[in-house]
Amino acid sequence: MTGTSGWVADGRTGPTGTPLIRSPRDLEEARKRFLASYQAVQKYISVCGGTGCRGGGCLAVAQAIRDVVREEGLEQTLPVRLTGCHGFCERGPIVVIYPQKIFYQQVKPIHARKIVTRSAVAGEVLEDLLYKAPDTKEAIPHEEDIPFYRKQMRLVFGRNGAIDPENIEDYIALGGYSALVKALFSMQPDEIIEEVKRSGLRGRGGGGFPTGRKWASMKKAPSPDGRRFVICNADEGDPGAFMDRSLIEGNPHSVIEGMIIGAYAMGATAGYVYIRREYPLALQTLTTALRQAREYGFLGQDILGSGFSFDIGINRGGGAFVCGESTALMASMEGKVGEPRPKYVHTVEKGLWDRPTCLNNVETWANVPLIIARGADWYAGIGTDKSKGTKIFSLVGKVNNTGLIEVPMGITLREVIFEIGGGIQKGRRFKAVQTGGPSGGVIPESLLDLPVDFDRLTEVGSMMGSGGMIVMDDRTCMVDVARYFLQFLTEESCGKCVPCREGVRRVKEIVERICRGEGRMSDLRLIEEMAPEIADGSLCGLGQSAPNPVITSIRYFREEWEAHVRDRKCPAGVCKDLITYSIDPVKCTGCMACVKPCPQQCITGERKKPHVLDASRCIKCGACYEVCKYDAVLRQ
Amino acid sequence: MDDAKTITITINGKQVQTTEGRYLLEVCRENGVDIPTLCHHEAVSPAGACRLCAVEVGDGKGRSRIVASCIYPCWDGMVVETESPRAVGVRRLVLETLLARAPKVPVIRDLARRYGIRRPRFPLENHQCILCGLCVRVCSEVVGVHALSMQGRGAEKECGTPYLSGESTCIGCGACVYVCPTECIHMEDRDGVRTIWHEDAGVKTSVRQFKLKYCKVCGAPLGPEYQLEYIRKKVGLPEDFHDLCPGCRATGRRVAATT
Repeated sequence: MTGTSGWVADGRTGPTGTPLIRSPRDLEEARKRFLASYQAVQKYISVCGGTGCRGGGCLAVAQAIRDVVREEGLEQTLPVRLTGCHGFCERGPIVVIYPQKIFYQQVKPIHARKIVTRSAVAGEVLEDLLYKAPDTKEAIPHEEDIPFYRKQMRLVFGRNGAIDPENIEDYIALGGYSALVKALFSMQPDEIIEEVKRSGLRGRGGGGFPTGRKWASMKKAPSPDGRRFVICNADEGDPGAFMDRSLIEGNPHSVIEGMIIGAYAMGATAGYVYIRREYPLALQTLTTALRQAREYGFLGQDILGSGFSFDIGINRGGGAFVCGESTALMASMEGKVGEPRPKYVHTVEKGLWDRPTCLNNVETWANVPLIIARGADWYAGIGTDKSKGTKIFSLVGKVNNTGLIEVPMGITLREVIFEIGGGIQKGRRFKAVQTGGPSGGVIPESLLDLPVDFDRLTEVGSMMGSGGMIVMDDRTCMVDVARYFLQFLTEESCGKCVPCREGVRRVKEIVERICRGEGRMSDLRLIEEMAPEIADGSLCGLGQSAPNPVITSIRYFREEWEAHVRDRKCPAGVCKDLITYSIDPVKCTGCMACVKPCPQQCITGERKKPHVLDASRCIKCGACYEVCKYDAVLRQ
Repeated sequence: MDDAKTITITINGKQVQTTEGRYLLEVCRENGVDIPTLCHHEAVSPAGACRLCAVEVGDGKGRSRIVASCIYPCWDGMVVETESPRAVGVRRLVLETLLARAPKVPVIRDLARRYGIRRPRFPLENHQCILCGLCVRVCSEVVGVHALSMQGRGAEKECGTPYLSGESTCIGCGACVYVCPTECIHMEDRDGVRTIWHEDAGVKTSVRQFKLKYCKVCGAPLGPEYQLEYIRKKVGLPEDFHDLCPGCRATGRRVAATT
């Protein structure tokens, strides 16, 4: 048993197989115990165990800290918690000292000793490991004072840093599953649906369909044999997006609790989580969480004595992007080829195995317990007119503070990129932000004050999507970006319908030609002509939204496209066929810095004399351009 | 479910009565409105894959959308335009890209010409298969042997037997040959052997040979052994049933099959 409170072993548990918690009273009693043991540990070290920090070596850091704790004989008094993602991936591995909440960033195993002995034990604040404000260079000791966190509203993500995702007792201690009790024992199913409707919650997976309306349709739909399903779509596949992953890795029970509430409201008989096979850590935390939820009595027969029975299974996706589309996902679950089918008959009427099925995204499910616990009015008070609540974005690209952020709907892109994101790396100029992944579009600087919500993003030709936000600087070529997304979509199209399979492929070929300097002005017209036809003609959302990246790029950056076509130039210096490197003999100081990194050895010259670059052998890798401190390497 | 409701829909300005939930393409064709298709066949379920049957469906109040009529269920009061600029735009996109993919296929050329496309604006390729999936559907839904499937995805998608190897549950019936709109599945009976293969861009795949069976009396060809055996088991016929052709069986000239 994984519990840490010792409660499991105190003899109150029933025979094997009987859930530990059998009534709301049981739960409240258990919560008191769990909270007591949670709070008994005032002083502890929390190490972020999210995927980003793991990539940065947090497991070694956690091990080093545990080793020091053991050497110092502090195992009983100074626990080390490996938590879910804190969001500030750019600065990982992250370590937080409780109760003072001192926030250390970019921690390495060699820092373990001083973190334990000087900071955790002696209470000293280690200045050198603190986050420093980029402008004032002032060290900031607490998480909540760091600009990256200050503008955020971490409702869904908030508990990630405070709980051990592999320990259900942490979740229960902090109020977990109380929304389920409220739903099961003091609300009728229709009341729950009405509450979700009133909250204004919209699907977080991309479409933004009102969740309450979906639930109501599902509730009404008849099933020939009584079977009805809820599905959690965890097949997150947008390039650069990882919020669903971090949510399952960091707080799996919030998703599970949301699904149980939804299942009760809609009368579902079984639930499934369709999760990417490429997410091994999420799969592990989810598997553990489901097992614990069953052991503690939140899943299975007669949940908490309410008479409602429900369980959740896991389906692993095979890596096809299109399987994030609801009908393709269901086909895949049925063991068929992962191809979408037209949704003229909605999945809430005929979904998985032709039974009524409600599919929601990970983040949507995780919002449900909050709405039930704190009420629709509270939730509807956050956000804009038609987009309520918060949204988690993965802020990536050429921005200083990359990571996962949760912000209220309606925040402007400028606030997100320049205040939370800390502006553009290396002080470069902002050029565009891509939202909504391959289905979304690029948004230029002139629209930076746009409030981020479902409808406003759609108005400007992009979309909310699942919440990817890729920031681009002036060294990004917008034609190349369009080419990248078209390439992605060509590979990930299922190939069933002609407009998507053949149309997108042809647009990609045209854009590739433009990148090679073989474009014609008629090409731009051809793309603009094909785009609405592809959108109209395609079977599923993938094809219908596939033209968005290229069309918004042409709309907002037409000059750059025309430069590629008319002048055979890539202003950003990205498209290799359109650029040449040379050395400015006036600016070159003869420092030799560019000679060594050149893989072709095509730069020659003596110290303190201008160097020469042999363009005939140059492969345009840009290594010389990157190292030159005097702007003497010219890229034209 | 069967209390079929009679509804009225408008197709190209003409009011038509039909039953709620029927597929729009059928209703259009019954009423003399021609809509081209490539992936549709009345023997199998609709797929909505080729999108050639795109039509514009509105609510009569200004809101409209493009749908694939082959798989779109009719509802009361819907207003259908089969040749609206948006619908024709999709059809032209489909035909232009398919013509670039398979420029030599007669059915594609004819349809493209009908929509005024003579030369695609894209580089020409040399395919015959347009991945409509009719062969796959007829093999699983009508024949019931599931020998064919789509494999790969996107631009890499292919059609054929598993791994395109010819090793499959195929019984050699030739139903796929019959439904293929672009004639890229071939069948040949020669010297007591039937050969079936898929040919695309000059590459033969899924090649499979079947021994043919002949009437023991008159020597008339009966079909591939596998197919006859499949039918015999499915229907529960006697083991020697396929020793004779129907004619010889009828005339009662039963000869001991064991000799």
